[in-house]
Amino acid sequence: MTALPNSNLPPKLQKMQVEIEGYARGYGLDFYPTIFEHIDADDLNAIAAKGGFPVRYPHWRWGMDYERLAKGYHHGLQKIYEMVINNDPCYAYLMKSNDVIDQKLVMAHVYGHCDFFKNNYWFSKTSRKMMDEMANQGNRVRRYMDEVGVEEVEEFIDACLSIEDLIDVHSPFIRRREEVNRYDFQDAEKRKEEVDERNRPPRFQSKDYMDRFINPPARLAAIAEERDAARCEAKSFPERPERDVMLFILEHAPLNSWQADVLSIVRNEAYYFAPQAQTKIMNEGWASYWHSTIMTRQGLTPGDVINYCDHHSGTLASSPTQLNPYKLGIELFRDIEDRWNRGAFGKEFDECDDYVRRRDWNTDIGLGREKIFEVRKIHNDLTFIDEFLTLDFVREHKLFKFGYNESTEYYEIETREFPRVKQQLLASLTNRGQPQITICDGNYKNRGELFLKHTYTGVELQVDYARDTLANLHRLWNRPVHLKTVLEETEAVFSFDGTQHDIEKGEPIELAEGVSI
Amino acid sequence: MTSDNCPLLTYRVRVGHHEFRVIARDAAEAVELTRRLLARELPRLYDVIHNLSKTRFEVENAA
Repeated sequence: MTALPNSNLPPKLQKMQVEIEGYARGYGLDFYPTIFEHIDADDLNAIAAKGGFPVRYPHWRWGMDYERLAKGYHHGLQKIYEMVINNDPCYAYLMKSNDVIDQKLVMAHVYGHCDFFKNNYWFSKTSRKMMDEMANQGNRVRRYMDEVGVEEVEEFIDACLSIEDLIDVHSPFIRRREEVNRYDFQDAEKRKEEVDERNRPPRFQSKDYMDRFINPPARLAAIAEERDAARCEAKSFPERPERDVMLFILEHAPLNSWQADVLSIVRNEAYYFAPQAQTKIMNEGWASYWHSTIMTRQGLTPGDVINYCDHHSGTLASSPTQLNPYKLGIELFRDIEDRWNRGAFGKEFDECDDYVRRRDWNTDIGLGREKIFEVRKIHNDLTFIDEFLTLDFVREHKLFKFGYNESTEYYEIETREFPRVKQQLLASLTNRGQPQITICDGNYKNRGELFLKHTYTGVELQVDYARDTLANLHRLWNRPVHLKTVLEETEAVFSFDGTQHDIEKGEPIELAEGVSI
Repeated sequence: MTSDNCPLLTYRVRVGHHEFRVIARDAAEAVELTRRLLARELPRLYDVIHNLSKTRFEVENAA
């Protein structure tokens, strides 16, 4: 357990790293080797602007993000305490201007994240060599810029980035379709034979001399014809609605080789970052749980307590108008640990209606620590909240749903009802809070146009965003694009043909039960 | 090991700054009861409390 040789930590911080890593491992946290980089605020802002990766493809957006972060820092509005990258080895950044106690807190927090990255199932399909991959991808994009020009490549990246949320986050875990190697020609012939065999009309077993009576050729031919007709009719493109819009564009749009490569780079990064959006509450909650446990039990000296409390409470501060993922996550983990320590779960507990009995329930089975390790392994934010946000928790933490009251022109508490609070939280986490959009037809009206559908769940699309995204999609697809959605409770189809936008309104919609506007 | 025939006694148990009065058959049971009470009072330290050695509990007969 020594600091890695390529770390630039001063000796004091190296010693501190060894100490904190020892505590973390002592609690059973399991992580890849972690390299801490000790850098100043300017460098940290520059790296943070690139999502934590020092070498990435060039794009104007990094400069814009850097300006925002740098200005925020210099005006005293914001400060990045810590940043950690899901990689093997894990990279984490410590800001030089932080107090020693902050560095300690950050290290403990980082080890929580590193453990989560390594062990949470939703991260299991992410590349652990992303630092190198990003650098290689950056080189490829730079080469394309040299070949075709910076502006053309950047504009194309802009178009790709506008659809980077349109991916199928579950696809790494589900085999949606048969994987086919397009260069495996032997297999292709074999597969064709298998398909032909499957499509052949069924025959009854018969002796040769009886065959033309038992399996009349005219009937077999009619069946074959019917099947062919049915197959042609049923075959749509794509066969099933496709949620991975980026993949569909990659496979079927008329892109040249550099464009396809750039799109695949943006898609690759989108899949890499997706689990971080899916587990924000859990990941931050887990890291905060461990920095709090390590610091309050072992890490603090009496002189550090006030500073630690000040910074810890700042991290966990709740706002009446915004959900703090750190706070919700840590409190849920603590609640789970407490419930499983005293056996407050299961059928008997759930069926108990007596408030006092539930509050004082204690079988002292002590499974809390084991349970939270299990939870961090298998859940994401959506399943975490769905499973563990209980009525008692909502009451204890005074959670509520708020909305804008047009008559008073104020944001007000709408309800404290448990089901509605939970529903609101779950809705905001479903599909990472992004609209669900699928490609329904890649040959719309038999004219090679693209038809997409927005699955309406009570929240309408923002019209200006939808239009800009359609224009970018058109740039990638090169043919008119259409998007079916709901606008002011009426079905609507947005279209863009390369020159002008169009909206075609349809029938008023009937809302499904439980969907409110 | 306790016997059902043992009389119940009141004990005062101190752990650090915390003090509890518990009714138990003997000092060992008083320590275990105190562990449970302390763990309910300080749920975040459940594992620490359940791993505390018996010598950290000062048990006195309160009767």
